Amino acid sequence: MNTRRDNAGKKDLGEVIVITSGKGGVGKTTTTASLGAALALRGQRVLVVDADIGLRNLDMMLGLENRIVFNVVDVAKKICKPAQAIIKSKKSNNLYLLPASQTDDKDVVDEAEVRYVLEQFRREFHYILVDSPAGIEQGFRNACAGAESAIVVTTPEVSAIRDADRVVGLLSSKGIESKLIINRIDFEMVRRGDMLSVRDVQDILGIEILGIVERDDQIISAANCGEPVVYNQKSKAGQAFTRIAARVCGEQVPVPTFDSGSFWSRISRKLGVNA
Amino acid sequence: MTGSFNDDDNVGFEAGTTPLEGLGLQGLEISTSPAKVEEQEGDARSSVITARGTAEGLILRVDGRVQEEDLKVAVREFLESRRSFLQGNDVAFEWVGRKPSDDVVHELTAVLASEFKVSVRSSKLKGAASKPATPDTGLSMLGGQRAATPTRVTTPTPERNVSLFDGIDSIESRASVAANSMLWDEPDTRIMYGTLRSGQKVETEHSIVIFGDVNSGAEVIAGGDIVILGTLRGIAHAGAYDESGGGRVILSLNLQPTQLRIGLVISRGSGSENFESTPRGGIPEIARVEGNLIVVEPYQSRTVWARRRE
Repeated sequence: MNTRRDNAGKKDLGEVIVITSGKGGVGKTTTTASLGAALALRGQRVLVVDADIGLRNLDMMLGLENRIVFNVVDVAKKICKPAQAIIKSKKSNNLYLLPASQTDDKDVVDEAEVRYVLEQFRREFHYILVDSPAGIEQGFRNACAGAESAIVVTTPEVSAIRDADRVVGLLSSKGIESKLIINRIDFEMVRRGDMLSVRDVQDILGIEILGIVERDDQIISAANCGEPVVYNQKSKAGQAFTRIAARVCGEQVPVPTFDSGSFWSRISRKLGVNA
Repeated sequence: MTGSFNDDDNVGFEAGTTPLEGLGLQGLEISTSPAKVEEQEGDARSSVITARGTAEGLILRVDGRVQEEDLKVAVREFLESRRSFLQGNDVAFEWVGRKPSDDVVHELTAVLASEFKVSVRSSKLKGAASKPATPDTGLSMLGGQRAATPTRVTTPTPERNVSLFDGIDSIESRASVAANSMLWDEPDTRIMYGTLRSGQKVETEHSIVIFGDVNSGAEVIAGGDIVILGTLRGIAHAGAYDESGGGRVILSLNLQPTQLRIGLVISRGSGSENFESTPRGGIPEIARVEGNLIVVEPYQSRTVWARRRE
């Protein structure tokens, strides 16, 4: 996640970023698909890798489930050539998927094999996003193997934050730096005091915030259609992932904070009224 | 000097014994209080031996005046009930009143090593260390009464009964810089830089200072005090090797723990359900044991060790 990607033609190795969370259901796969699509829209060549062997979902998020022939296990076991396993996205020529196997389980590959697989693609892509399974077991360790940096996804719930905290600690013990995406935040609930605010989350985790994604119903319909939400620029979540993609590329995009409350309280603050 | 030490003795005696009665600490003491004498009788076996965590490590304090056979039985019983706690550790024998013959010491050392995997670091008479024998301490009084060792300067004052095992001796041994000054000195404190995250655990037999937070799901265990220069959200266990907690404290700049433990006393935190009310940049607070409870109060620099001395 630095600026060296800006000159896209440069012939150095792509950056491997693992997307993980500890807890399940916080939006890892959605984030991987949306961020991959957003980076591809910026002209970066992106490979999204589904490391959730046995419970693959990323293919459905991208609407590619009916095109899968080979998968990441086949590449790891050298059953197929690396180029045979990756699938080009319907929407973009820059976005490719390396699907997981649905019939195996997490122990079928080890960390060295995952590193080997990633090495096969690093020359071809600017970014390789690895979608980690939930948990901190072998599947997580596999997903982190070969990653240079990590994006930790959390929701503003205490359980998700504790798991994220654990994952940040595990990653830093492997020497991997983590950045945070806070997903599914509802600023209205934050304002009412019913939800942890961005600042609460940052206080606990103490790592750099890469982005904040508001709760958005269009995420669900986008997932069901197999079309990442970033293609719909009216969607707040889509805009958020576009900003996150810009930050991943090294651009300085401010993180909008709605913590200051509702529209009216912001207006009244501007007017000097104590709301 | 006499007056101040004896004051300390009496108050410390009460503080040391009230939180955990029946654990044997009080049984060793020669006390004026009739209530304490009763406890002593009711718990005669376990009172022969007590475990104590100090800056030097774990000390088994054994009453050397009892019969040798009783002594062996008592030591065996004591270790049996704490097998998992003590296993693999090393301890130091501290003999109270009288040091038994070398044969007995060797035999006990062998039993500890073979049956409990506990190695014996040293074996000495209580107070026989570098501590100067000051005539007016309770120790030398005891020595006088028992007429144990010739090295003692003894001034028997039989009309004054003094409690012995209440922390005052550790003040003396630790305050090597200035025995009479108001300073404590603990040279082995561990210092950690960085935040402890969920799943991480730090354990030390001494005190610990953490420059950072202790997050929910993380755990700090210390034989001494715990000082957290940040927010405590996880579990902190101070005085972990001393059943009474040894007067140890937990200090944090922002105290929102899951659980606080001092010695055997445990208190639950307020929990995470009221997250929105957690104060940011709250005032430093300190937790200590009072009675059977952990008491949390705003930190004031004088209170900590003043209480320990009291």
